[in-house]
Amino acid sequence: MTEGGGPTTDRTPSPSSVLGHPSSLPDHWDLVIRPHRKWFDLKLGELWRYRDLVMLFVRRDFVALYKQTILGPLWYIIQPLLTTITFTIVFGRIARLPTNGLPQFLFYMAGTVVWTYFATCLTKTSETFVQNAQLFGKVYFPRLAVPVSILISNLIAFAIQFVFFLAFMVYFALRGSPIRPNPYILLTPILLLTMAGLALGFGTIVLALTTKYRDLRFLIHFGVQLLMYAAPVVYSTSSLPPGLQPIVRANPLSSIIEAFRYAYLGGVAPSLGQLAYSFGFMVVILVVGIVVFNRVEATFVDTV
Amino acid sequence: MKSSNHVEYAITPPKGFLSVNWGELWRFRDLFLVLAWRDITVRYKQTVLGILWALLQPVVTMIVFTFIFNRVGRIESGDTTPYPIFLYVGLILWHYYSMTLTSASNSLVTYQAMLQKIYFPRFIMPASTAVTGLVDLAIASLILAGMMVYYRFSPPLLGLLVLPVLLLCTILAAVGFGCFLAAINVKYRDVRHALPFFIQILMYVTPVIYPVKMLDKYPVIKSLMLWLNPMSGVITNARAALLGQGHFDWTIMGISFLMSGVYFVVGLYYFRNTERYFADIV
Repeated sequence: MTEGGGPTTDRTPSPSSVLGHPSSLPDHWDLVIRPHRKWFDLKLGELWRYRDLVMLFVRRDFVALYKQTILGPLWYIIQPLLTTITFTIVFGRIARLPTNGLPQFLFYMAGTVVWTYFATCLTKTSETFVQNAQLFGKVYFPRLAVPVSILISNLIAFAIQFVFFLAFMVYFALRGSPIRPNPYILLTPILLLTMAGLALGFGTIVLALTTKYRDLRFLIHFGVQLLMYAAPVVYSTSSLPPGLQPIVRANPLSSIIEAFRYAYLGGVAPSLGQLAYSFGFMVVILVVGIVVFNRVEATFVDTV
Repeated sequence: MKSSNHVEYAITPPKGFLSVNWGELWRFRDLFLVLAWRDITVRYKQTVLGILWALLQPVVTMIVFTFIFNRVGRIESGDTTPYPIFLYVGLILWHYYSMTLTSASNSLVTYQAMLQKIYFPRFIMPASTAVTGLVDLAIASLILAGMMVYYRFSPPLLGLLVLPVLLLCTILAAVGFGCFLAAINVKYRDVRHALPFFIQILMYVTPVIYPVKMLDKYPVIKSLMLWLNPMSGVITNARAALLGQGHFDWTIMGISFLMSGVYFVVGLYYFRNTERYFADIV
């Protein structure tokens, strides 16, 4: 694993020569860790050079979930399935929330699959430092590699769950349910990108706060759960009382979930203005998140 | 080996009822207290909100659930009790139960480093988790007291006397079931993935957000629920005891107590019988 990013030469300058003439021996260094010049510095080039490490993290995250289990990777399918069944019973059958005339099972499954991607990315990103403190304390690599790998490994999980969702969709369509997939499907990559950006942005902001205040670690799980109720996962925005709709619409995730559901199942489409709002929100939160991340990155090893 | 005086501590094979060495468990009571105390301090250390946090979670959950199930979903408390307080009694008891069950189930995996190094009666680990939640429960009860004043409920004396029994039921059920799951979790980590969903589903098949009366039309489901899930009886009776609405049902109480006892004995029995290999495969 270390070949790509690790040392490639044995020549190491002696300490005295380094201290004496630091600028005269630049070639001897494998890697120079420079301080940040700009407050907004993605260092994407460096991240690209460490791509093998990112892929290794992706593999680790993906495999670690089902190590030492009987059902193994099946857990990736069982999780959304169980959640969907619970939602169908509780919100569909007991609370009888309207679903715009769509089959309840598919309605909740679409919401769950999309929401799970966001929620997992957000939670995992916000735990980056605590989970990897050992590794971070020992060796340098672009810290952004960890959140990026989280986005990728969960995207794989999302893809698996999404295929599973499509299978159910076909099944329901064959049974004659009123499902109307439409050109909104083409928006899928943009929707995913927006969600990933939102998760990364919010995640890094929470991350910055958790390194200082530990209670946010407890809060994040609860907060994400609450946020789910503030997004149209178990209901559709149009079925809410008019007074509440603006509050839900203010949530940048709402239009993404609604658009996703509309694209594959039909029902009520969110306006393009709504989608533009979410995208704009994502850009802002991502920029803020990265600025914050770069600031925290410099000092967190000492505080975690 | 020749004289037993040289042995400082003899670990004897298990025997007796449930193969639990009660004397040994008693001698290790300080470990139990230390583990419980550590859990409590860890939970509240380095936090700004601290105790406020223990208040915030049940209150916000109550507000959200009241909105979703009562305002939008039209679920009522089934009598004159206002829905928020009806829900809150169920929520805090359920929160205690689910928290204890989760941490008991994960206790052996979480502290595997300790488990592999030294000997102590393993039962202490899942058992000590029951204490941490009690602090949260006590703090959350303050809000309940406030709500009872606000809605003008005064609990009957009998109700207050019966509360410790209800709590004991909850502890027995949670620790017993937790022991069982902890023992499985050592070998199969599926438990860890399944548990959050399992608990979520379990909450909806427990009368937390709705009154057990709602199931009067389905007597089979109702009796299954009361028999298999001791928390159904506990929550139903806690409402009767605290809010004085609906009468306290001794039959249901007896069923709950019996069943949580059964869960405890079965859980502990399985735990003791698998305990030997915990340190090897955890």
